[in-house]
Amino acid sequence: MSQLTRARRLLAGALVAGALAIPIASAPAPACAAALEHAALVVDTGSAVTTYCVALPDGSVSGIGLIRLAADQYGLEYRLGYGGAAVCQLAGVGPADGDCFGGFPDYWGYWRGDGKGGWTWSNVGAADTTVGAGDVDGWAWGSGDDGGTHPRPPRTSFGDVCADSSPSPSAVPTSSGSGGTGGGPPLGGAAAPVSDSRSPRGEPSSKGSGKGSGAGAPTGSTAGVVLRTEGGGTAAPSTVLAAARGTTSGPPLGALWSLAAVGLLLGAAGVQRHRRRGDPP
Amino acid sequence: MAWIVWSAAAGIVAMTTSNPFYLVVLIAAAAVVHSSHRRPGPSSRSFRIFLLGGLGAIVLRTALVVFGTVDAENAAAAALEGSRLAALLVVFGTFNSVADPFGVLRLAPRRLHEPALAAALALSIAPRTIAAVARVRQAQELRGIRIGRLRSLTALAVPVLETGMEEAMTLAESMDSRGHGRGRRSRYRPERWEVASGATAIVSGVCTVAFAAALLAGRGGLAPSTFPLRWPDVSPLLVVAAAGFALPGFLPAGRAA
Repeated sequence: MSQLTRARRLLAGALVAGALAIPIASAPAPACAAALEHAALVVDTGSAVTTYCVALPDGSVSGIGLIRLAADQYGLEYRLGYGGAAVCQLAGVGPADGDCFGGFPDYWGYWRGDGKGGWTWSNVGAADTTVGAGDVDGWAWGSGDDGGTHPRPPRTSFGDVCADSSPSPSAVPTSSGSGGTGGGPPLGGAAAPVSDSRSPRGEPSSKGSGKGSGAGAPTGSTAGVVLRTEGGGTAAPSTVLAAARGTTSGPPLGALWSLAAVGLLLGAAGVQRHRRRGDPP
Repeated sequence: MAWIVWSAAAGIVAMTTSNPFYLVVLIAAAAVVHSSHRRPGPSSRSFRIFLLGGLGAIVLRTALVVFGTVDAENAAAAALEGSRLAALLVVFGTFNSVADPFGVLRLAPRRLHEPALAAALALSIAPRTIAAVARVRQAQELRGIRIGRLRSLTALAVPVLETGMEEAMTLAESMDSRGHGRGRRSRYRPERWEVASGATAIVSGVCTVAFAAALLAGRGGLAPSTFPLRWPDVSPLLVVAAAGFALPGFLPAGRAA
């Protein structure tokens, strides 16, 4: 009897070990970046277009999952609402109060690449779409109820964002790459700001410098920022970079204020209660 | 009636934010007000009962997450929603504990008398039910009925409902006999609006304006992000504003009402 249970335990242990081993084994080694699959994400805030070549560790994700991956890999700042199913904020643009349509008629429109550089309006929420390798997802801030009226991101094909996924990751820094404000070594492929004067809006000239291999971030993945000139725009791409470093953990300083106030008030309540108990009713 | 202003203002503040660092201050402020102004009698128990109800709301709302995707983000979002509801319940419980709902009725303009009557009845349901439950349980104990069994619940519910019905009828009859609803009310004991009442109302208003301004400006971390899950911003100014609702607790008792 005890042997049987022991054998069972062994078997269970082997199963658990196997289950643990499988994901480890299937996880791509960081060295061979070619094995990693990528999807492109285009974020158009109206004043700046940012592209991200997002690595897909699990092969495919939802549209929301792609944003989360871009946040992990590049520090894209985002905020979701409605139980994590809707996009409120991307790159700091959009309502901050959890009501994703608080900025109506402006909101984040969800576009899907048609494989030829163009866009089709998604009739499905981003939580229910499937983004696989080679797909292009686009988000554009603006008004309009459907694909006919809502602004769309500039024409972008997968190859524009993820420079031909040749086996050797393109370590070619872009011309004006030196991105002074960025400087975040934890950031893997740092975004390389490219001024629009050089490349009109159609061509996202982003070959983010995958300079060497950033710690943690998959090699060969890139993010690029294209600024639009339409508004005389000098929108700083540094917002994207700053966001990456701004994700601190730990309670804010104001929490101490809050706790101090609660302590004081509860103390006062206790004193009042004590005093009243002393009084004759 | 400064308590109406106070509780309406505190309720509005509770609705503008789901930031736990503000809500917990608001709840503590309500506790101060309750402990210094609660009226004698069973109605003062409504604070504790609503506080427990608020905790129950948080637990229940968080437990409901199991019907969806269970992860930290969803659980946190649910808990924050629950805590907002809890703060509202605590404010309401404090109002029941410190103010007389039927006193509200006296203040209503004659034209609004009927809606005010309905509101007063609705407001007073909680304290009246609590009082009725206390009475029925006491009677049952005297008769040796053991409390706490499931079966005793029905024995409790029927007399409580009966009492509620009876009280409503009594109230209606007494109001009818005093000429309510016929446009000839007498005000032989007008409400006095004293300095403490004014201070309570003004400070409540100012604190609410602070929260409303923060809401409109989109600042102060009123709606913490749960997707992604992040520590919310906390503005010391708004913490002070939330604590300001404790002010009536430090004014002389019996005046602010």
